[in-house]
Amino acid sequence: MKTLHFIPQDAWFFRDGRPYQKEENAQADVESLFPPFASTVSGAIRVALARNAQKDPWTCSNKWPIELDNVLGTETDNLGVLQFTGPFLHHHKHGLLFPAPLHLLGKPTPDAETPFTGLTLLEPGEAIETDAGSYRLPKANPNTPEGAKNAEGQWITSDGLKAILNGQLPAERDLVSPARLWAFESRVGLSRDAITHAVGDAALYSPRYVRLTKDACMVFGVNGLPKGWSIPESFPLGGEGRMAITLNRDDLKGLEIPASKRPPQNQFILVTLTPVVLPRADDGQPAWPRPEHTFPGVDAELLSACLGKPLHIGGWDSINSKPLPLRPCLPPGCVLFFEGTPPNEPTVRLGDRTAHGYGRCVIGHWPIPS
Amino acid sequence: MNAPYLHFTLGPVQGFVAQSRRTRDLWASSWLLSRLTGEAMRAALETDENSNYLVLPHLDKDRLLELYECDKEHASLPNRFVLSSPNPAEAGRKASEAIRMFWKNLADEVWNQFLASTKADNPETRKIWDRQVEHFWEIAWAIDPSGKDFSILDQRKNWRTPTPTVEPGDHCSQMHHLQELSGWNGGSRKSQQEFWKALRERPNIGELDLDEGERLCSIAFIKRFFPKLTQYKKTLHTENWPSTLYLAAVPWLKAIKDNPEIHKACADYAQSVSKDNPSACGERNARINSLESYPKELGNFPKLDGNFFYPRALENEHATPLPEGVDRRKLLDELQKLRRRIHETAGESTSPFYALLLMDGDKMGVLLRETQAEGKIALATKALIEFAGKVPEIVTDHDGRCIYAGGDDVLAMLPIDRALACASEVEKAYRESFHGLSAEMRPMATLSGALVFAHYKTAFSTLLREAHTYLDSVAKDQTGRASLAVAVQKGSGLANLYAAPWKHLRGDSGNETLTLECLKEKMIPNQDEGSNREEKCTTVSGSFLYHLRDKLGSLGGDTSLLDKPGSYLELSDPNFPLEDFLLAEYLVGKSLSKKKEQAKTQKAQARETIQSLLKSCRKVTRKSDGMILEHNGQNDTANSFSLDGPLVARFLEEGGKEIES
Repeated sequence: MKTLHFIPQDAWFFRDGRPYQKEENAQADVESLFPPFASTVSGAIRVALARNAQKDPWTCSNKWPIELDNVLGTETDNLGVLQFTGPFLHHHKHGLLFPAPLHLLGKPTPDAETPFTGLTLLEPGEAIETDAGSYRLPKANPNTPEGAKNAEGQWITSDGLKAILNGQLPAERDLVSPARLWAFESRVGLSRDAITHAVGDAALYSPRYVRLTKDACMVFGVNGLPKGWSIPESFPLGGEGRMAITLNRDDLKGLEIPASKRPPQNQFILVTLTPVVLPRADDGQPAWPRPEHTFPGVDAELLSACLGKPLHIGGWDSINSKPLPLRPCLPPGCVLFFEGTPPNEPTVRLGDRTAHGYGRCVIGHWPIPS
Repeated sequence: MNAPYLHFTLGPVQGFVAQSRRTRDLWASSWLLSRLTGEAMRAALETDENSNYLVLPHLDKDRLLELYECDKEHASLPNRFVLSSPNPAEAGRKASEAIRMFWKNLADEVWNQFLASTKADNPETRKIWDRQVEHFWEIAWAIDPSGKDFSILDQRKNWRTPTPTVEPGDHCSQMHHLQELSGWNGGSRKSQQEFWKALRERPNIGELDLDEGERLCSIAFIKRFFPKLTQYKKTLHTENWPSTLYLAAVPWLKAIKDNPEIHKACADYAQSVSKDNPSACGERNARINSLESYPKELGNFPKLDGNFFYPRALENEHATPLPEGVDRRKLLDELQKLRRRIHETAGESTSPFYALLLMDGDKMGVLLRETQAEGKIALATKALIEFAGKVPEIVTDHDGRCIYAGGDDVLAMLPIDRALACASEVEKAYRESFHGLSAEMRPMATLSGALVFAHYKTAFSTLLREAHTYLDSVAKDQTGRASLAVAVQKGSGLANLYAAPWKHLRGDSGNETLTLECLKEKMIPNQDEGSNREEKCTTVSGSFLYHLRDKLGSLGGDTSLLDKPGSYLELSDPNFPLEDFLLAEYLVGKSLSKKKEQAKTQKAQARETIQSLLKSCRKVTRKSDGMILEHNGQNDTANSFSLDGPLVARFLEEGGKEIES
């Protein structure tokens, strides 16, 4: 796998599914997402590769030349020979960073160096009668400090994630607050006619861009890139054609997803490292995981889970000029507790659109009782 | 032995409330949540009226009905409740069913009154409508057989079970993850535009109900239109919700009220505005306390829509549409003249800022658990009811409007001049409500808050998200709870963020006037800089604050933190005598009296001013035992400094007021 490291040339802007059209009130204070959706990054890379592979400048109309289809694919979800992983982050001091699993609890602190203290792990408790049947809901152990919260939104180092996957607690210094990785900045924009440079009515807009801190960069893995193909040093990524710069430095670590020791035969966890695009059920709607939910390729029964709020991932179908449906996804960091035989490989891909990088999950142990 | 407890919750809450475009949407979201939970509570109680009772909130059925059925302007029921019941599962099922039933009926009525027999009445729109209405709410409950575990719902929330849907096409301009109702999905947008135009032209949809450019999903549509249903129209008075701009103008309107010599000019302007444009009187009854007895001589002036007070809003054709034939330029000229005259007479200009107050109780789960263990949980739950009952009146007394006051939560909007005092009063009411608890328990009943001074154009979604961050991360996690975070949110983003425990804000003697307000009195407004006020040793100018920022750079530490709202510069020398340094800088350029005694008095005044300033410059936190810790280089703390406190005080003095041209 080739690992790509990117930073923004200035700042980035990654949109969610909200309308963003001139003369609409919804464009006030449109905040960039971060990290971006995997399909946003994979799409930008495919276009950058197409542009780089052409001797003659390609005008970037809605289709690249047909001779590139074997490698780059033909449409939104046909990625040719390419397969992506990520995006994740890298910090100069901490190395590779992954979304913190949601069964990790700690007490928030004002200290940016150790955003959480008193770490503990949730584990499946006794069955409780609920609206959806009898559930073994994840429960905090008695050592949990007062005021502890789950580490949603925090990032964790490879070592920290590895410890958790082995059922142990990470060190407090393994957690990295997003404030040390990026910041949003509000700007006011004025759209002008591309040719006349004139400004019309309702041309003001106010996006919030994302700027990485000087120690951070984004990491994305690419598999299947044929020999001789390379990613350009800079290319447009995300909204407004804002540029990404490809880094090539020795201190940057390659993308290696931490693996645990093989879990026991009857119990294991799956941690979602990237969003899982939930497959549609017969009624066309996604089936959100509930007790006894099964996942293709995982021969075990779902017993308990720590699940975050659904993420809605869409995009724009530039070939057919229409929006892609917004599809509900499990967010990164979800922890699924299974009983049954763990998969053979330390990582699995769950759900749809996995070639983009979605659905990357890693296998681990249930927390070791403290 | 306790009967089992049913712990019930309805969501989404924060997202649903924040996805609002107008003050009316904000209020309607809170009201709807309160009403739906009220239906659930009633149904749960009715499954066994003899044995079931509400533990939290502490309400009997009569009081519950009174709270959700009467003509309440604000929402007052929390989105979660605890019921003691011998058959809690049955109560949970009935409660869930009651919510679904009420919601379905409400949705049907909105459809029938506003969408049936229109362009919207087509199979595609109906499909979208039904899908969204059916899947929107997340209802969850769990049973605690022991009747004493208040953490069970938190466990239930670890495994969320929403029923999210795939949403194709274009998305709602208010709730961005849901499809808008026209069903457009690529190609020409003409059909989409015609769909919404046809709705805007319906006789029962007013021009203020649906803006050009707004495209709503079914949930946002219900939120916007249910208050106009026949059965709610008379009681809910949606037209009485002041706009953010009107709230921002309240201090100016109060100053006008107190100056009779300008009343006729104001009435004349209102006459010019409204004679060809009856809908200009959008604020027919904004119910702002100080404006209730507005003199009759002012005519329609206090009823004008807030946009007619602000030249920038009035000159914007999209923000302030005028009927054909109305001369916008002429109105603007009249407004400019009037504003100048008001400024000359009353010394007041408009500010584009208003305040949003968000508060909630600290560690409520622990408080309930501890009082439960002592067998005094009813004292705590009754205290919450008492508190929620007091809040609306406090907010009204401070010229604000209460959106939500239920349990330990408060959400209100206020004009900037009274907002800080209101926050302080609400906190005091919270503590007083728990007077029945034992002396050991009472200190546990604390309230934290976030007060955000926001530009009127700030989207509610941003504002509420930020307010929740200031409340949870800043006031609670970073400052140690029992604290208030105050932020100034300008169009360009967060400008200042200051947080401190209430104890510190009130000073050693527990003053009613907060330190920030005392400091505000010492701030010299922009317009007076360079005047003799600047020469006094009792005032602080803006230029002095900016001078300090530069000077502190020479003392070491990361001075870029001084420009980062909410951050503190940590001086490399923990023993550096900051007070003396500030005093020396303060006295530079001040011409002290040549008379020894007078100079001595001036120096004493100067020191007092600097001490007052420094109180709002230091980082102050609260330890878990309630002790206040000033980060002044002593007791293993950093020698901290920030200008956020003084800059917030300066903002309060200035109010972001617009200069008359």
